[in-house]
Amino acid sequence: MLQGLKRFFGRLTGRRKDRSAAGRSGSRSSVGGGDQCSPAAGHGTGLYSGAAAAAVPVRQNLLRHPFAGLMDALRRSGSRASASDDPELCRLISRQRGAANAYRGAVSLLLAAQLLLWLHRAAGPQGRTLWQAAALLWLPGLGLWMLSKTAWSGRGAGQEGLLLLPCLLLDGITLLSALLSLLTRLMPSYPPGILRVVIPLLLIGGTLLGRANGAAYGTALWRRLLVIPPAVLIWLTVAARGTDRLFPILGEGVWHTLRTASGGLGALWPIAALFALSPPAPDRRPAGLAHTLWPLAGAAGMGLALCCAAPWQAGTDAPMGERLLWLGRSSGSITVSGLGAGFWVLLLMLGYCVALHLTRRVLVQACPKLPGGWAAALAGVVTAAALWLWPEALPQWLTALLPWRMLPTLAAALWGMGRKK
Amino acid sequence: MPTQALPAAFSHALRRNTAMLHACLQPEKNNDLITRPFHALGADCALFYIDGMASGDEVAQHILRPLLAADAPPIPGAALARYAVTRCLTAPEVKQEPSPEKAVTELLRGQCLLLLDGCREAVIIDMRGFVHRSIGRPVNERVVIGPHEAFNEVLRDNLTLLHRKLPTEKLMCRMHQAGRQVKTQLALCWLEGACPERTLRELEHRLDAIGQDAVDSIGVLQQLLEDDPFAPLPQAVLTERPDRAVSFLQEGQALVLLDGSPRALVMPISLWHLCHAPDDTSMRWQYGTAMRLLRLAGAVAALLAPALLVCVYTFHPSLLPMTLLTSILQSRTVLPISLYAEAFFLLLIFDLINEGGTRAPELMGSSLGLVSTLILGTAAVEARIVSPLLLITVALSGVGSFALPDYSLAFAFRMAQLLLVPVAGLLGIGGLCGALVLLCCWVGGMESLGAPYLAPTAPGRIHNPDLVLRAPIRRQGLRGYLAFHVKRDK
Repeated sequence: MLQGLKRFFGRLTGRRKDRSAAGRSGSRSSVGGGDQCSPAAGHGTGLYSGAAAAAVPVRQNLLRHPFAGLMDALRRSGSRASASDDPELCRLISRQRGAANAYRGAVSLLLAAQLLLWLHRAAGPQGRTLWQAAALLWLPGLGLWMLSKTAWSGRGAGQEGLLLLPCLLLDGITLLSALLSLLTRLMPSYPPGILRVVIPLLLIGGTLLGRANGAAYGTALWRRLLVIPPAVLIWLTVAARGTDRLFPILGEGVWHTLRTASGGLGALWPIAALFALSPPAPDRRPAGLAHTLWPLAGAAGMGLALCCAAPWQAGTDAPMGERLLWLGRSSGSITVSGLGAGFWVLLLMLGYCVALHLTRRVLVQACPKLPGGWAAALAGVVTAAALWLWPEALPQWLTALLPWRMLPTLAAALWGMGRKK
Repeated sequence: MPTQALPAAFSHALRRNTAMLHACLQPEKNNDLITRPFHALGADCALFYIDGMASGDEVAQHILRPLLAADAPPIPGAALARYAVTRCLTAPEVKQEPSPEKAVTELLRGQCLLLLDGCREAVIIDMRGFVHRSIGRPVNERVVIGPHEAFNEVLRDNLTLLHRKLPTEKLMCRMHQAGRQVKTQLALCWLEGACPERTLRELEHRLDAIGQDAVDSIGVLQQLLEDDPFAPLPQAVLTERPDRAVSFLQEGQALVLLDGSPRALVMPISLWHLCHAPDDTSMRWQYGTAMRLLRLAGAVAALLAPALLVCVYTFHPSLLPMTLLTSILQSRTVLPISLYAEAFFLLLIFDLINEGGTRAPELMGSSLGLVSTLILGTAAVEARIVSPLLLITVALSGVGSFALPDYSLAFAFRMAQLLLVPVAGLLGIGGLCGALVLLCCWVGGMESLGAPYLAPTAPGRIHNPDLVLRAPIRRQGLRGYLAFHVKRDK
């Protein structure tokens, strides 16, 4: 673990030279990138014949040249060159990269769901200053990104992935709890016991039927879900009602804002899962940046709309299901309110499926003899059982436990860095 | 099907070979077998063929007349077959076959079998002249702009259509057989350089692994080749259009043509291949895109419209605008059954009409239309058994399912409707969304010949801008993601 810390800080200060990745060819001239088997010395079998393979330059130190480093990462995320003429290898690389991108998209849905749930949990009469705390979270988020990338980029988690198991189970319980609370609000006369049985069964069934990758691919289809509703909601709520709630800029004081932000640290843990629990990209170049950023941008937009426009109820005792409906109701439109409710139901279900699927991956990696179906079912039963056994006490326990998810995540990342030699 | 095991090789004696064939094919019971003994080239000969499968005139002109007119050559009996093939027979396709089993198989497929005394090889002559359907119009895949040819039941005709549309030396057709007892001939076609070797190996492995006694149709073959027989969607495309088959070949997919079936089986595929119609490419990109968006809307309506109506009305009526809610309530006050039961009943009726329309004789088709429109539609509404809004919704969803180009996909959507309506009616928005997520995960885990079913969307793969929105042809420079990533030849 000590060696891992040394390596991490060494990268931050730029003491280690980055090894150049294999092959970069005329990706700057390509339109929309291309899965390109760059030919060796002009055999011309690639998409852009005549493009010569060139070494990737040494990566810029993000702390010294943040803008250049970010632009470099974005540019190289669009480059898909690989110095190989073998068509089968190109197909394999393309397939592996596609799988990595799909997992990134699915995990980013989970991350967005966790962040939005924290926002709603923390919202209250002081909601007008919540956005400052949310903005502060981007700093530790970026740090966790870099740490996770250093620890797991290109290979994924090994045994240290088991440390992420409590985070996944807590995520599953949180999402299922919020979902059932929301459904109870939407159908007040419906027996809640039936929902507690049938809804988890449907979602566990989906994870089982999806087998090895179906849950990840199926949920990744919806990654643009988090872009359209926030755009509509922002227009209908913020633009119509002004931006008074954005001020004051520093909120209710720096320490109060920091204290609020600390409650949201636990919601950042899925950033580590982007690298630890997604299939590794076939080469060391960034994978799935666009797939990751789409849902996060949407979540940021929704968070902003929430902070600006939601009419906060007095006190903080409103159940999560009620809180999730505030933003839609504040628009004043029945249709928007309904669509907002549907959006939340879908997002929570997708996040739950992703949590179950990642739990399955962790258990199968740790115990290869364990059938994947059993692993997913076990995770689903554990999360659902928590809701059956302690339906009233669970929300309070979650409020206390959720911020601590960052600890096992950091431990796993440092362990991963120590393993990497 | 031969009823007796055949020896490994022919005998020198014609009498023994004839007895062997008669013991196998039993002409005393099977009167279709024609045996024509004659003397030619200085030796006794016998010609065998199935009545009706070979053309009698062609047999007389290209086999009997030249052999009977030929002089006896000064060569041993063993070389007579070679002499007949190279010097006498005027048929275009002739070959020598030493294996009795293969010779009988060819005979049963309509070829003529010639045995000569003293030769240990049979001569197979292609004189097939059985009646068959000519090249006609597609029945289920009609287009406005585009060719109007369709495959028919003869394998050779279908291969000819492919060769005409793809006159390139890279088009490969390898013959296989399907079935242990009844060996139906099939052709595996691919484009060399586009279709990956891995696809071919896997497909051939699956073809060789078929353990059925007989493969009667291409639909049976599809079920034997697909990855998961319990999956909700088909994992192969069955197309009756040669132009569509050729486009699949160019995209790097493999094609299987089965003798006796007028459709080609294409693998591997993705969900998008089932949603694209041949017209989309033939029309300008604006019209093709508009048609695709319309089809997508139809698919969503087909899947969700009835379930959404039932869900919202039953559990979340506050989400409906007041005027609409009032109208629905007024129309439903006199109805005897619940909305959920009514929706299920109407969907069943719609499927029943659909099935009846498919099976009904052509003369009765108009009567069926009259029954469904007047009696089940107008009369049911006037008798206040069903509500007009639900009738419109069910009709809209049915029309939406018909907009899907693939018959199997449309059927799958109609089956999904029947599942989603009870779920929505019993569990509300939670059940409906849960079922949708379940279907997404299930379909996401499907594979077609090992290729992910939702590719190139999830997992993302490099592809032509031709999934939902159809980009102009000039911007579609890539071969499909299933092929090698080389630029399409212009």
